[in-house]
Amino acid sequence: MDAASLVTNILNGLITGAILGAVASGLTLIWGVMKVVNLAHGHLAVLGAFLAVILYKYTIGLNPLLAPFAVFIIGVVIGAIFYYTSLHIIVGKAETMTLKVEMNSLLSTFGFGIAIYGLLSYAIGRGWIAQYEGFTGWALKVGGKTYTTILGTNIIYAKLYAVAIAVLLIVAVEMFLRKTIWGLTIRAVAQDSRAVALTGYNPVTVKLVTTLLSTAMALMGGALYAIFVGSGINPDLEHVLAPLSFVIVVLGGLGSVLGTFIGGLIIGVTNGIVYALTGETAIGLATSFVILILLLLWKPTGLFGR
Amino acid sequence: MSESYMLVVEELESGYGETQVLFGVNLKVRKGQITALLGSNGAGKTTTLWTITGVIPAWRGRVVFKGDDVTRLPPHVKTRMGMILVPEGRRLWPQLTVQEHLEIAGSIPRSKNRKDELLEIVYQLFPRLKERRDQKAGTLSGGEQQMLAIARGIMMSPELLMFDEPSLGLAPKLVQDIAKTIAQLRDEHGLTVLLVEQNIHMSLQIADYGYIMENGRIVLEGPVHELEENPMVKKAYLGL
Repeated sequence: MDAASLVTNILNGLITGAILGAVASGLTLIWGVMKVVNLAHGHLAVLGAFLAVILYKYTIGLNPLLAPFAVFIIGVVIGAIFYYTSLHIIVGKAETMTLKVEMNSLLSTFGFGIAIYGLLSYAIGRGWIAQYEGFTGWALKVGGKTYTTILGTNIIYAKLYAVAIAVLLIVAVEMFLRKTIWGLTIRAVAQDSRAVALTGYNPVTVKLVTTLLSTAMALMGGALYAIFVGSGINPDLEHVLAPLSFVIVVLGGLGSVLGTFIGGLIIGVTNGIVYALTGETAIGLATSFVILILLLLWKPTGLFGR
Repeated sequence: MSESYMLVVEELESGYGETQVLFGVNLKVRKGQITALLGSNGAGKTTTLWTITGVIPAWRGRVVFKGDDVTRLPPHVKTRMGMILVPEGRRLWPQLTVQEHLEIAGSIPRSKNRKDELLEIVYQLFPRLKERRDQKAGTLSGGEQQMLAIARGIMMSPELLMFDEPSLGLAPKLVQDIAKTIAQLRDEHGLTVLLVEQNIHMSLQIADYGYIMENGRIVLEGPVHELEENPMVKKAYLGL
């Protein structure tokens, strides 16, 4: 392995990491803040990627660059379905999120995830949609070219676009949580939801909004992924996105959106370097868990955890 | 007549699951006064407050607030009408700072426009909270936590402020401070208070009118000076 290919892999790792951070940031909201262990999160992200493809190829021919925003809006609707089918009965009346409530949420979200997986697989099996179809970056051309050269590495413009949108999403959500009353009540509701009611806010509304936002972010993350990926979109992508999301969320510190983004970058770069050294992607996934364990030994609350 | 009452509770019954706790509670809270609801542990005082606020449903009876029947309204709606509870055990959000607590409470519609004014009142009452504004509630001392719980209540522009055992777990000196603050809220800010306490001594010091509760029923009521002279109160609660 030469230095040039190492640089290439680190750059690509940073880009993938930023997208992974965006995918995981929705999870830190629903799990880190609201204490719902959302096992449907990876499936929701995959659904977002498929929706981006469906919006372009199978329906209205929507420009893939606009897909993340459209998918975010669809995500709000799917979030409402998710909340009322899988979460309301468990978390709606819960005053504080005890371990028991967390475990119940784990089971019900697992079920919702399986439903998404089943639906996508069915649609593919019937030939309604095809798997392995991303946009490979053709949607964004500058001067007739789809890529630019940075440090001797060809980087497709669409990847940079996706990273920019990812950063935008992270900053927007971080500001929302820090600076708005909604953000404060979202944080308060997980700690004592009865006190939130006695302070004049409907706790069920707050929980619903958290779920809507988290779901929309998961789907948007998937749509960002679809913008530049070539042949990676299939229902089993969940098996990569979900565990990596959980690793990244814990690495960044539960509930910290900014931490999640940094965690994503770390995991992305690690995978890039491991790939450069070994030529294997699977080892990168395993290495992510090693990094997680080492970090938790040093700082049990994660990078930005409190 | 009824205009002079902020809160009227009629024949209130409620409980948890199959277990009935309240058996027809009647009480009235007069505007601009401190009304005390007293009794020993397990008498049903906290259940009365939970039922008034709507945290648990009333089985029977009525809760009338400012002349309106609010029995079936959920707690957050009653709060927005100005019926504010400072709950037992403070129920703060341990991971949020002092400032963030006040921010949340001061942002409901009825307070929004006078948030700064309310904040000034709160910091004047509790200068300690101003010093600790960026500290998380979970790291405050018991006394400071009680101050924050009261401050959160004031930030919601209460018309009726209800306290559930504000003296619980506090040192005698701090109990006196809290009592003084509650009296000050009535005298200087014209607030109407419903004070629920086990600490009869402290309550009789500042209250205008009192109710004694036993086994889910009101067994005695009267102006505080009459209660103090009542032989049963003397014997059972004041240890005289």
